Amino acid sequence: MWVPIALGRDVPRGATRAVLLEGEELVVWRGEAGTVQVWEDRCPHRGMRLSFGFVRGDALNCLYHGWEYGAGASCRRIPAHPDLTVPPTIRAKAFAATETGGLILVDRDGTGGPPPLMLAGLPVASLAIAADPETLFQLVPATPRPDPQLVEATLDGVRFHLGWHVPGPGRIMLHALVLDPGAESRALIALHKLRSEAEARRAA
Amino acid sequence: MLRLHDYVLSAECYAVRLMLALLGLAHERRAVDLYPGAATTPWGDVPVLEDGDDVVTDPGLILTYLARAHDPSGRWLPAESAAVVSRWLAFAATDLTALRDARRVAILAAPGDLDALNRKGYMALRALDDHLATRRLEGADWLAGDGPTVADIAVFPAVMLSHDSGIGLEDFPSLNLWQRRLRQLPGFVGMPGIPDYF
Repeated sequence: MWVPIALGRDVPRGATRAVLLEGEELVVWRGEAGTVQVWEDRCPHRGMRLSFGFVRGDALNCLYHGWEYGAGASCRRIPAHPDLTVPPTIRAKAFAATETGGLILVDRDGTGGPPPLMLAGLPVASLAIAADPETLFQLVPATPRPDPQLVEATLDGVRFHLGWHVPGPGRIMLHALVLDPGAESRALIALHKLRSEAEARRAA
Repeated sequence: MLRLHDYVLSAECYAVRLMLALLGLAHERRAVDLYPGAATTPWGDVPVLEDGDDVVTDPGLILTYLARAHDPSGRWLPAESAAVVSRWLAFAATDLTALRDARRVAILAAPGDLDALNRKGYMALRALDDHLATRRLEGADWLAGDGPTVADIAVFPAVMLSHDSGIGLEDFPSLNLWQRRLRQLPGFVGMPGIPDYF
């Protein structure tokens, strides 16, 4: 299943971003060529989180010992053994990833089929909220889209594309885009208000 | 000669070391043993900065002192952003102390309620991320003004070290990009737990 996990804007070239998806640690990163990658956030060498690492060209390097992983997550260089041809069995775990309409999506179990295609929205923010999706969507009149975990919604007069994922129990992370240029700041205020209402409802 | 009374694992001392490095200021360091019962400095807790006969204490005041006295460019403490800079310096000295205390409980076995401190610390990180997210929509990259200021330096260590007490930056995309930008500044130095690779 394809699940939105971040805004494309939040992972520029050369950057890494750690994402929790249903308790699983993922690293989202983008090399110089611009293609977004979503991997398990774990170096197979010592288990260090790759999101602490650094991007050089089109490779992600582990912060611990500089093991360098290219596209497809194969390890292609181990600095401590510069003459070694790295066996192809040494690899991080890569997931199918795509980017559409300003959202980054991952298909962890490979059951998603063709990736969703969305109209480009203008990124506002990803917002973590301490509420489960059911509680949150009681507060947001939303129209489901054909794709899972993607809805269209209007909040305080602003038209949104909302993608979302669940980092862990009782939590949701919204990835918000707007369709109208110039509405971004108003949209962020509406999202902050929604977060307060959802968390107050949970506390009550 | 500038002289810093320093403890390598202290987030507040690191903020001063970082400011000194970004300003390119030569200084000497006196490592202070913070083990309970050991001597600290004649003026109290670290960090303490001596500048000739002058002595400055308090992390936020040391940063503003360095910017005023040792940065002719004035860009680390711009007059037009004075109010916003002050607000975030105050935030670093109040709201962010929960993260400092959580870290002391987590890695130095200090007494305290780790969960309660982490909850407060999480809300402080959220306030920072909200502010930076709002600023990004206005085309701005830093807490105040057009470039980095002492406000960014004052809050940076607590943000970067929050993982020591178990809070990552997964929930805070704007903070994540901001910290990366800050680590790219010329002269940047890290500390244990804060890599200078980016």
